[in-house]
Amino acid sequence: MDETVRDWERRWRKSVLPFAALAALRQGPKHGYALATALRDLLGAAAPEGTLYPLLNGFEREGLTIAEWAIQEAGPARKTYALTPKGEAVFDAAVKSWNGFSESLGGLTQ
Amino acid sequence: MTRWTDLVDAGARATFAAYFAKVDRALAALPRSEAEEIKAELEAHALDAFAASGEATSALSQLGDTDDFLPALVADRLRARAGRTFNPGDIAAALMRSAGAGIAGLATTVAAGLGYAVAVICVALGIVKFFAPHGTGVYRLDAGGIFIGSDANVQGVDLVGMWFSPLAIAVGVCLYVVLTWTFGRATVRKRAPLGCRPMED
Repeated sequence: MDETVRDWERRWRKSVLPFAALAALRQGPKHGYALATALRDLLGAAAPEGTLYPLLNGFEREGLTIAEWAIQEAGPARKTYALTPKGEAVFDAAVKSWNGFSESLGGLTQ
Repeated sequence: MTRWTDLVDAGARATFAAYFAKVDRALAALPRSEAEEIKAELEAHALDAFAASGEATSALSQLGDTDDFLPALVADRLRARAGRTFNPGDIAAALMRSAGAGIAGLATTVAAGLGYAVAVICVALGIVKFFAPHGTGVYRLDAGGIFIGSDANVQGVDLVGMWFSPLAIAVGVCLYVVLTWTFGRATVRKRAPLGCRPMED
């Protein structure tokens, strides 16, 4: 049974990854490693960090994020992602939806 | 340090070299500038992870096996490129890559491929009509039923006449444009494995 619950937990963490990524970017622009670090704490080892890159590519194509390369004083240049107004609107709508879902589920689990 | 080639530890440098050789192979289908951009992004990520952990294998394990995330990224980029250029070569490359991005990618490729086949047939029939006006087009058959195609021996009434030519070409071109526009905006995700897979030496 523990293995079943652990499997569910891994699937829940993985399925909220796009929402969590938008939430992390809502807090401020981030490059890939910073985003992975923010999400690692939240999601545990739910998925390899490289899976963020197809996700970020999809966000850019859908107009939810905008990216730019920043030359650093030390270290390699980094590509930083920030939410667009459309991305912020989508995130705000997702938060409302998530809260409703969470409330419904909370009613069942009490 | 701006590149992994600047790493002092020879063992770490070798581990990074093997990983990024795989990255190069995975990105080979993309235009050079796009491949270099993705590779630079992954390098920065890997170097940050290495700086935090101090261990190359662990840092690259965190990033993950390139087979788990690069095929989907490459397929998305090729589809986007096809949707911008409408070039048949770019479309063919994108279709082939999408087929390898899991079941959803295969389904997208099959559906789009069938659509493109219909578009090509429409245009071909429209052109053939110029050279073989009798037997090509939309016919109400003497024996009943409707025939659309090209057959020198067809027995029936040509319902559209020479208008079939521009109409068929227009339908084929519109179908090609709509399919490419839609396909170029499709996002297909290959399911990544749950959890991190240990690096294989």
